[in-house]
Amino acid sequence: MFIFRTIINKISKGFFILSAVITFSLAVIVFYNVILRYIFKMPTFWSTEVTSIMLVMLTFLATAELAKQRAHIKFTLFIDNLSSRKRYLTEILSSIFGLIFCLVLIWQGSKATYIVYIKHMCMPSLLATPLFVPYLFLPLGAITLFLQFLIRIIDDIQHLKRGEE
Amino acid sequence: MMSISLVFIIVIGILFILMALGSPIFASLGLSGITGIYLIMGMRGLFQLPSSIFSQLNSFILVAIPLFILMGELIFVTGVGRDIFHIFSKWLNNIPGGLAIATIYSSALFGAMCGVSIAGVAAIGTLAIPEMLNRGYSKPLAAGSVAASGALAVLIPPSISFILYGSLSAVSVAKLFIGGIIPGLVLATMMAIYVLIKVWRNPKLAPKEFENVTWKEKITPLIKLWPAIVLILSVLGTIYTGVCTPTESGAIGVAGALLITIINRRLNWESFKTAVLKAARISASLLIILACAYTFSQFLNIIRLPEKVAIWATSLQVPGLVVILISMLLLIILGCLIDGASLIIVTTPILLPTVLALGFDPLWYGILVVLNVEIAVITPPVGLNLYTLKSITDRVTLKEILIGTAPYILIDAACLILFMLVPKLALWLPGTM
Repeated sequence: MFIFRTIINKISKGFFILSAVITFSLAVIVFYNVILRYIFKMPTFWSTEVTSIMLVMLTFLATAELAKQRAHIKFTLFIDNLSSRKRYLTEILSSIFGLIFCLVLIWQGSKATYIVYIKHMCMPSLLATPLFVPYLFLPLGAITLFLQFLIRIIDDIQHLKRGEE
Repeated sequence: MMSISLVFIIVIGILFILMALGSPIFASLGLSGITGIYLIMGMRGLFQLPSSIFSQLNSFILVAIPLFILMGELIFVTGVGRDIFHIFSKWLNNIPGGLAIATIYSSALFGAMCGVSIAGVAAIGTLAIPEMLNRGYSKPLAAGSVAASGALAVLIPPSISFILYGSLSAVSVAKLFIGGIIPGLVLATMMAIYVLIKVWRNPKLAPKEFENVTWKEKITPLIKLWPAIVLILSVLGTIYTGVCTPTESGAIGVAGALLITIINRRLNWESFKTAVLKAARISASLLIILACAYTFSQFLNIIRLPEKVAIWATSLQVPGLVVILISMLLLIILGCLIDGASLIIVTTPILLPTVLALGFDPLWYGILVVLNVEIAVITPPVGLNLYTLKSITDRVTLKEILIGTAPYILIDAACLILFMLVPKLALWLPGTM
């Protein structure tokens, strides 16, 4: 269990750092294009498409680490005043629903990625990026998110068993 | 085959249960949306899930979100917030409640460089709260001015809320940005007038310091405003003149903020890393909601809810403005329960068709929605600004923050009514573009 947790946490952290690198890279690419467009009158043909794809990557790569840090935006009005035991129970329940959602994303995301891959589908643009590239990040992010939800459930069950605050 | 009404009740039930359990909003919206689509269309409905999520996120205008958030985080590092506050406090020294008014205008100026309200609260609040309390200001007055004026960042461009609304409504983000300037300035002035009247009626709330500030002391520090002026002109100026798209201006803003941190000698690896990681975290948490909310919106479109609401609203024998007023009340109530970004993402696809069917300008409606977010960030139990302020200082209690912020909810509401009744006030400036 310890090794499993360490590996998943390291992957989530690695993906999150990658999403931070993407965040800064977005600024660099768009600024580079601004310079080329307005100073050299030679804008790139790829920056709009690449940055839009990077936005998809940023979103799905960061999501598992956000779940680990419990940093996803949520509505806490009802759970704030619960006893720690009830709170752990609701956390477990909410993580189970998270797991179900991730399963649907993994299943449908993998299926869609496979279909666009075997059909050689590309984005309708000059760059013609193969669609499986951005699509791939959906199941990839969902798998890591699924594993993080799983760790959370195990942790919360252990807290419950120990009767911790 | 289930009836559409039953499916709708099931989906809304799932959404509320998940949200009440504290599930992340993206999962609550996504799972309830998927359930609804599955119940109506079966498996073939689920097949469109990845493509709808991808198409929602694959947008150049949304690239502006991480850029403006990164710009705000870098500005936070520069220390410009402190300079702005000190300059305003010198200039407004002799006015009753001068420090609180300085806080309000500092937040407004800081908001013009940073589109996230909690960053404004943290940047200005860490300086303004100790300064006001040391001067003997009442705690609620000090806390209220920081928490409420921090929200001006939501309205004054560059604003993440406007980008979200623009991406959902197809209204020009550039026009929304420019449209937010006048409401932002009017609201800041209404807040300042409130402080002035309150302190004038009860001077004990904000004891005046008889510090004689010379003109030299007032004018010399003005030079420190150059980073703010250059940054605001380069971001908003390029958008207003149509030279750059909001996304491109965001990149210019990041470059400018980075340059200021270097010139102010505030740039080190640690601060840079913190700013970028924080920007990635905030951006991803917003974008995943936007992506999953699209699934929920698709379900609503399949059952043709927005269309039905629009038909119902237009058939009512009441003026259109009454319908807008009712929707604003609904937004205010919802804003107490969910965060500002989710408020825009969830309600815009439902209510905008009604607004259009009634013949109102979607740009004007966007400004009204963002004015609602102003209220949402300072209303308990979810108001983020309230908790952000509490997290940066131990010198005021949450109760004092709530008491101090309550009157500003009414001021925000008054401003909302003003712009609802006089749309030209909001639409004039974007109309000159």
